[in-house]
Amino acid sequence: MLTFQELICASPFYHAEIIGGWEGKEKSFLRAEDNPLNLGEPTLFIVRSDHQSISRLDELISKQNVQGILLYGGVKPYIPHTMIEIIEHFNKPVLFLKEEINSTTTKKKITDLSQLKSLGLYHYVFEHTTNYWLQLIDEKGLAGFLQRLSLLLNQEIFLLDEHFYPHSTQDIDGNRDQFKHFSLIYHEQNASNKREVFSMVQDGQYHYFLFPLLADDHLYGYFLFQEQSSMMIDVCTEQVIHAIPALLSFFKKEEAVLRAHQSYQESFLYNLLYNNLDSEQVLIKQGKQWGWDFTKPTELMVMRLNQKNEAAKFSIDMDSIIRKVRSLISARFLQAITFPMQGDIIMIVFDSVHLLPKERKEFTLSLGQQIHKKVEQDLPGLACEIGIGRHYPSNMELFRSFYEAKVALELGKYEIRHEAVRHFENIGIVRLLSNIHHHVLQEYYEEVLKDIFLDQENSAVNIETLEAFYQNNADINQTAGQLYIHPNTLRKRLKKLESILDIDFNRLDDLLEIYVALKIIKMIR
Amino acid sequence: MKQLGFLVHIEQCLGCRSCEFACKNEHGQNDSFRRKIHTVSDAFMKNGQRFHHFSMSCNHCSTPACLSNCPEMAIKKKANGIVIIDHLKCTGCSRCVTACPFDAISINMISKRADKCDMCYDRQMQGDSTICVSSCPVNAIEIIDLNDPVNAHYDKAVYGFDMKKMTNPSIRFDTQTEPSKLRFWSNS
Repeated sequence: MLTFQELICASPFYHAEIIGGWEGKEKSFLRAEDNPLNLGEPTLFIVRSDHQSISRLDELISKQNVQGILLYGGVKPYIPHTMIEIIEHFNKPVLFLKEEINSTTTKKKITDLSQLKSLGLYHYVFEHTTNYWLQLIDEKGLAGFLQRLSLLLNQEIFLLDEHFYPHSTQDIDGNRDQFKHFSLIYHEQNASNKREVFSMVQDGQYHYFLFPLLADDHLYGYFLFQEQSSMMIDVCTEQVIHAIPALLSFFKKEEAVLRAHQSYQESFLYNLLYNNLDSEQVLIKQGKQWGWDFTKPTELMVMRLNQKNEAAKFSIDMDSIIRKVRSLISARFLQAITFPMQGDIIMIVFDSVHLLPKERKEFTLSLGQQIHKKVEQDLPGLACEIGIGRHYPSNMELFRSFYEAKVALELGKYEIRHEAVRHFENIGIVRLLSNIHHHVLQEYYEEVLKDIFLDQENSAVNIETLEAFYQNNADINQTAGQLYIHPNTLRKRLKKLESILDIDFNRLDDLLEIYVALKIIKMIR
Repeated sequence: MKQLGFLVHIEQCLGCRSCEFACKNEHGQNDSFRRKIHTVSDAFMKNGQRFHHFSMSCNHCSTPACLSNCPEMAIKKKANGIVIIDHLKCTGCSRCVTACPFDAISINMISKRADKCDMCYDRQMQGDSTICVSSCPVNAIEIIDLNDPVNAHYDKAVYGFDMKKMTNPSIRFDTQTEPSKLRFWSNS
């Protein structure tokens, strides 16, 4: 005796479409028959799909020994709603197989299947279903695969990720956390052995089957479905067990595609930041592949993260920081590309065409400051610095913005007033110094400050005094306060410096000369 | 992504200028060299009795100053980190020459275009090594991938040679002294 649930696992019947009456999937039959006069024992009635046979379905299904009907050949028949209701009423499965089959061969095939079952060799039939599932998932995708599996089991089947959240393809009503408690139950029950093919988990009065989707020690998620009272557990589990390899193969393929996609994306962004794209058309066309509209103006920022305490070494979770930055930017209704490169986080923000240059700079600075504040607030152990490049009319020149943002990050360190978010336009004279060779710079500062360095004993104090003086905008009281000395002592010290260097702090030229020399010292040392 | 760069074995370089001349022959330079030999005194014996040589050309920086300064967008950085000049786009304006902190770019007096080391890009595409690496009689130069963690231990600077780090030059120095590889010269 063969049940319909077993029949549909065998070739070519697994291609059959279920028209109705699947509640009776556990009904069994001894043989297949195409002659209505020869129905002496439980039978699967096979009939060619045409108008005549469709109109006789109610008559055929009502016969006592007809356990179900298999329609074959031609196009999918139109079956009136009233006829489907009759089929459902009798709880006898009606299947439609598109393939042209020979009734004699089919009868023999079903006899063979019955014999295999009686010999206890039906698992060979189940093993072949994996090919079908592979073909199905390839043709109809994950949604089609899950739909078919749910249909065959005649109940809802849940695909969960490794954290027991529903998979993104599944449209599930209610709270996404509704399966989280299964995690606890499952881990409690299977603490010792996590390599079981499936587990039974109890949730209140209900029992559930939980199949871990495990391949090469990588857990892709779980299959979850409820145990029904009339369920043929062995057949259902065999069906799921042989469908899982197809699902795992699908996940692996998806993973490989994602990796390839990411590597193409990485290479595109690298090319964008290093002037490797041939034309603006190429940039716009390639950007569209990832949903980025490079016809819009963009701003570029580079974020650098360092540990505040050198002793407390911990790894920086770049991914979580990137997620944080993305959510902050999207909260402003802006689109952005955020990705790591060479240990920094690069942010390319698409903004409005209508902004004026000054507004654009203010907008980028405020966004940078907001990101900086949030990152430092959430990760107190990290020092966050952001460099911002200038805006260029063409996105092909983003590589210039990228360089400027990096320069702003590097050279901002030499600013007297330290700011964590630095725009290239605001780094001042250091921008010019960055393009001059070291030996020229060295010559300059040695010449300007040589008389200070001659007095080796006091040179460090003198340099510190000058730095504090400039840092406090030449304010005597504030400088004295910073150095913990009396203002008169500072005045005396400055007078002495004026005489050593032969300068006058009231002259702008002299002030600038010393200021540049101090900047060079910071840069070189 | 790769970042190819030069690894210089300081203790092995003889200062023989083979790399300079091989590069000049390979790239048809008239009277200028893409690669130059520098000489610095030793870190521990600063009295000039012991000194080192090393060979340097374009450092194919991670953040190349030349690239962003070129008004014609003629300089690009390839996926393997090599910085190259598109001679068809270059107008010879010299902005890259002044921007480079290593004096690695010069104007070719024949073509009137900017010229610099391209890490023998064409040779590398054919699977050959760069001409400087092939011509060094003591294997003092190597091409390495700086993003490979096995190369992380090499020094970014060498004592006595002041380099700007802002552009993050892709050059590394192997300053480890292996007694068997030390060479001594005597005037007597």
